[in-house]
Amino acid sequence: MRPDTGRNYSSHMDSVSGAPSALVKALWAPATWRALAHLVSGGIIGFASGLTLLLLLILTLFGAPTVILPLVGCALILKLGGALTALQRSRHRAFLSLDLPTEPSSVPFTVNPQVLVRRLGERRTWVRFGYHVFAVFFGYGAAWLAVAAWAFGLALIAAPLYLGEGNEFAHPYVLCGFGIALVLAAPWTTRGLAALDALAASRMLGVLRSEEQERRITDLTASRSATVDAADAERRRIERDLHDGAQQRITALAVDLGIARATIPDLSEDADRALARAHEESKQVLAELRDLVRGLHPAILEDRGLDAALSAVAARSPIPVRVKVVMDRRVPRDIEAVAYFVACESLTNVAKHAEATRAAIEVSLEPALLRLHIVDNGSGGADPDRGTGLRGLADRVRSVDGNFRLTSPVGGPTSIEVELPCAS
Amino acid sequence: MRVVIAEDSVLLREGLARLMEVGGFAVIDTVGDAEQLLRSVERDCPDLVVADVRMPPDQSDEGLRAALVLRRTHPDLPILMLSQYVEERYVTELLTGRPRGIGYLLKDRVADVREFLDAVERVAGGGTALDPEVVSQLLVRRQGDELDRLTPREREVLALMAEGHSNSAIGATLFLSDGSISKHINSMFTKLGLPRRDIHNRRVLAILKYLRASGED
Repeated sequence: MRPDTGRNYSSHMDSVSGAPSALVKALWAPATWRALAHLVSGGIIGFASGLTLLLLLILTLFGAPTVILPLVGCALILKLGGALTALQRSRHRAFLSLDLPTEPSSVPFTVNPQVLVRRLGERRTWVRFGYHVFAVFFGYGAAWLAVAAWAFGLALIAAPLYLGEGNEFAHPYVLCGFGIALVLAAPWTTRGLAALDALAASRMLGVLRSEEQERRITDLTASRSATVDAADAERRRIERDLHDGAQQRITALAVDLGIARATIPDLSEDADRALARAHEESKQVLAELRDLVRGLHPAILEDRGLDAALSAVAARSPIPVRVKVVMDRRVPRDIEAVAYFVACESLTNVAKHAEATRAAIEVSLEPALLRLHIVDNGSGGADPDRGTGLRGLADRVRSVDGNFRLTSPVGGPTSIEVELPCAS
Repeated sequence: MRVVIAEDSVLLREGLARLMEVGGFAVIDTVGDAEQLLRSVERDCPDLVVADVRMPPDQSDEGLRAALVLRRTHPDLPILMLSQYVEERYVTELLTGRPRGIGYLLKDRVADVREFLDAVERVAGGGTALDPEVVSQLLVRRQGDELDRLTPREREVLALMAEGHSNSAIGATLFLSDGSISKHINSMFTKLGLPRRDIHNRRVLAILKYLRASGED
C-alpha cells in the first residue's frame, strides 16, 4: 500500500491497531521506515532552512534604514523560499509518494523592486513561507519525537542487560515492558507525524485556490453536469420521437411495398424494378434509422440496463466479442450511457482498424466506481491524436469526471480502461 | 387460419394485418394492449397470436407477460412475439415449460415480407422462429470452452438451426447436401455433449437451454 495522502495514513493506522500481527508487522513495514526517513530529513531541512530565513528576516528588519539591505534581504528570502518549496516538495514525493501540484508563478523572479513587491504581496508567497516556519518547529520536534520513540524504546528493552535490580528507577523487567510498548507504538507515532506533515504540505505547498476560484469550480462542475444531463435527456427524447414516429411509418411503408411486390401481378419490367428498388430502399432506411437510434440512446439500454445492451452490441459485432458484466444494481443513466457509448465506439474501431480476430468487454461495479475494460488482439498503434473517434471517447468520459486510459503499442494489443464515478 | 394481432402503433398494426391477409391468414381481431389481447383470445379462440413485447400502459413488457399467461391457459396456441430489441431473458421465459409454436422476431423483419410469412407459418405449424440476432446474442454469452471448439461452419449450422430452420432449409441456405448437414449437426452435438435428437423443436430448445443455462456464470 502506497501512502499517497495524509488520509491514507490514518486509515493505515487503523488497520495497524486492528490486528496484533499487523502491530508487529508495522515495525518493518516499508511505509514506517519511509515515514521515519521523511521526518528525519524534514527535521534537518526544516531546522537549517528556518534558521537561514530567520537570519535573513532579522537582516532585513534591522537594515531597514539602509534601503539596499532590505531589498537584498527580500530578494534572498524570496529566492531561497522558492528553492526551499521545491526541495520540500521533492522530499514529500520521494518519501511519501505525495505529488503536490505546482502552478506557474505569476511573474518570473528578477531582482527588480517592482517584481519583489508584487511577489511579497501575493498570498501564495506567505502561505509557502508559513510552511517553512512551521517546518522549523514541527520538523525539528517531530524528528526528535520519532527518533526518541525508537531509541528510548530500544534502550529500555535492553534495561535488564545493564541495570541491576537495586537501581533507583524501577525493576529492569518493568522498564523492559515499557520499552516494548514504546517500540510497538513507534511506527504509529512515526506515521502519524508524517501524515500531519503531509497534510500541512498539501494545504500549504500545493495549488492554492482563492474562495472565488473554489466557488467558480463548484459552479462550473454543477453547470457541466446539468449540460451533460440535458444532452442525455435530449438524446432519449429524440430516440422516443424516432421510435414513435419515423420508425413506425417507415416500417409500415416497407411492409406495404413488400405486399405490393408480392401481390401485384403483371407489372411491366420497369414498374417491377422500381417497386423492388423502393422496397429495398425503405428497408435500408429502416436499418439506418435503427443504427442511428442505437448510437443515440437505445431502448434496450433505457429499459434493461447496461448488461443487456452490451450483449446486444457484442452480438452485432463482426468479430467474436466476449462479454462479462458483473453488476448488482443499475447505475445512473448518464453513466450507463457513457459506458455504452464507449463500448460501442471501441468495438466499431476494433472492427474497422485493429485487424483483430477477437475482443472482450469486461464491466465491474465497485461501491463508487464503474470499471469498463475493452481489449482486442489486433495490431495496436491506435493514436488519439489522429482521428477524432478516440478523442471523442475520452471527452465523453471526462464529461462525467471519469478516467480514460488507452494502451496501444504498435503490434498490439489495444486496451481501453475506463473508470466512471457512480455513487451508490 | 384465424389470427389476433396485438400492437399499439396503429400504423404498424394495420400494416401487419394487411401482411397477414396477403399470407392467407384471416385476421379476426386487432388490439392495442395486453388486456384486450387476453379478452380477445378468450372470446374468439384464434389459431395464432402475433403480439408486440412492449405495449401500453407501461410500455415495458406487457405483451410478453400476456404471452406467458396465454402459454399457461392455452398451451397449444402458437404465439409470435415482435420486439424492438433482443432481450435474452424474454426468450428464456418464452421457451420454458412446453415450448411449441413460439417465435421471437425483431420488428424490422416484417419488411421482408416473404421471410416474415415463412416464420409465421413455422410458428403456426408448431415450430419455432428465433431472430438471427437472438441466436447471435445467446452465442455471445456462451463464448469460451465448448463453443470455441466448433468450426465456423458448425457455428453457422447451429445458428440457423436455432432460428428454427429444418435440415433441408439449412442445406439450401449454405449450399450443402442434407447428408453433410447431418454430419455437421452430429459432430456439433458430440462437441457440445448433447444427445442426438431427431425432433426438430427439441434439438433447438435443447441447444438454447444449454446455451442459456451455462451462460449465466
